[in-house]
Amino acid sequence: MLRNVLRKDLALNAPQLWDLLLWFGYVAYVLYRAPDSVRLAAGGSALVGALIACTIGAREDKLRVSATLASLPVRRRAIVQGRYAVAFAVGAAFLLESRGAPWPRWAAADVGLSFAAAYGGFVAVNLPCHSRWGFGRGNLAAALVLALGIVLADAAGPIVLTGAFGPGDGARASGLPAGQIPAGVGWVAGRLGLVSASVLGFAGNVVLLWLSSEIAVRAARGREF
Amino acid sequence: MSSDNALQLRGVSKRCRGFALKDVSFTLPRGAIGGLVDPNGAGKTTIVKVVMNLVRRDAGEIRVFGLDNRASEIEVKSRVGFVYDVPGFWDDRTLDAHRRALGASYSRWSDATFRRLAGEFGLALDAKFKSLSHGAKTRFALAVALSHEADLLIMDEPSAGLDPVFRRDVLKRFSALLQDEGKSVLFSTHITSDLERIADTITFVRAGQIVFSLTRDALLDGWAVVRADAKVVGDIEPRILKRKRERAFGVEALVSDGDAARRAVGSCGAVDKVTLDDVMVLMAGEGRHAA
Repeated sequence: MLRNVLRKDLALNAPQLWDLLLWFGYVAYVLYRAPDSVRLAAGGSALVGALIACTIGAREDKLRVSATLASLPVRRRAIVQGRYAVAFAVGAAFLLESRGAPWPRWAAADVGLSFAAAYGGFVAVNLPCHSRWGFGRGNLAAALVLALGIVLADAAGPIVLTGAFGPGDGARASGLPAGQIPAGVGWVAGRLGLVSASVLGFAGNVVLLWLSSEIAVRAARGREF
Repeated sequence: MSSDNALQLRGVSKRCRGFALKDVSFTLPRGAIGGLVDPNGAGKTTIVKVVMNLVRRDAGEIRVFGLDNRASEIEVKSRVGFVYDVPGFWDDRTLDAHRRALGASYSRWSDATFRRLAGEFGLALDAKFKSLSHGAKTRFALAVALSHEADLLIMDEPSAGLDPVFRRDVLKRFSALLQDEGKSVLFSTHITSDLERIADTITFVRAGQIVFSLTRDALLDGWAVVRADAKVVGDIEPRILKRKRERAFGVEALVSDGDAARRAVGSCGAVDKVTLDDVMVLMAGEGRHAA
């Protein structure tokens, strides 16, 4: 069923997916000119991945096809999972593309894990908001939630910056600017070790995205046309 | 509930903003064409949407071929072809792209049937959906609905945007579906001639409630319009008096038993066979609801 949803997106929402070429063209240019900006490109790809999945829903709302979709023998869960799959396809495409960048730096605890955390966070916040409120109000709600997250991370900054593992060490080692997420990830990696932190980060992301998708599915099921 | 019925609603209620469906119950037997009429409200569209689970019911039970429309949603939707009053598809994509994408969702989709119907309906597969006229969009929606061997077609005002020639063709197609393949059709409309031409059952909705759900023959043969002065109409049994309104000559009343009305009125008024137009006008009008 999910395969049919993705097939539908490829056949009928292609204009949205073509827009991605612009983004990946830009990323290729940035990585070519300034390889050290890989983290910035990673954060941008996380946002683009989440937004492109949301714009597919927005386009279907605008064309009044969401109701047509809801009348097909397709579970709403599959429609929502299709959005997540598109978002992750964008992330996977970015990872492939960024292989040309200084790849070993991904092994740094704070860089690799912070990409996963940022990607998971954007997708986990944006998609349920759009499933519940549509594109316009959904964007607003997601922005508010993300802003709240940034404020909370700032508030927690002094705590995570005191870790034994220097804040943003991996980022610093790779010449990348340190931020709150790398600092937090670095702190966890310093306390637990890189492998444990990676497993914990991965598991945390899985739980976060599972919760997010359940909320999105619930919102989609509650939607009336 | 019996699965001899293509569709069965029992006690269905739904409260929306400024509107409510109240205790809606009716059945559509297998192999029948049912007309859903609501002259001046959102009731019929809401009923259609509740059946398709596009709008969630607050209470009641809906069965399609004996299956609960929510518990067995996928199976139900596989067996139902649905056409909106304003068909929504992907504007900038071709009809052929729609065929590829939508066909994949139905296990019984037939490309051959779709191509044949597109040809019969004058639809070019390489045309973009937005380039179609409103009538052609409806024809496309019909082609999609008829291409996956649906056992029940549910259509919300399917003939509203169609020219008279194609409308008649669509109605003939509905009849053929029934005769040749034993399928069922539920369509909402405000065009009484469509109902008279093909509907086996007529369900009349007013203010979110079912006023009556009868076979067309029971309605047209049994009901009547009485035209007489107020005192004579007052002698008619209240049980059969469905609606009445003041006219220049006296009172015009809709009754559910023409023979009983004739006995009550005698030679003091006129009792005529009812037409669907009479029912629509009297039921939808501002006259006093007598029943």
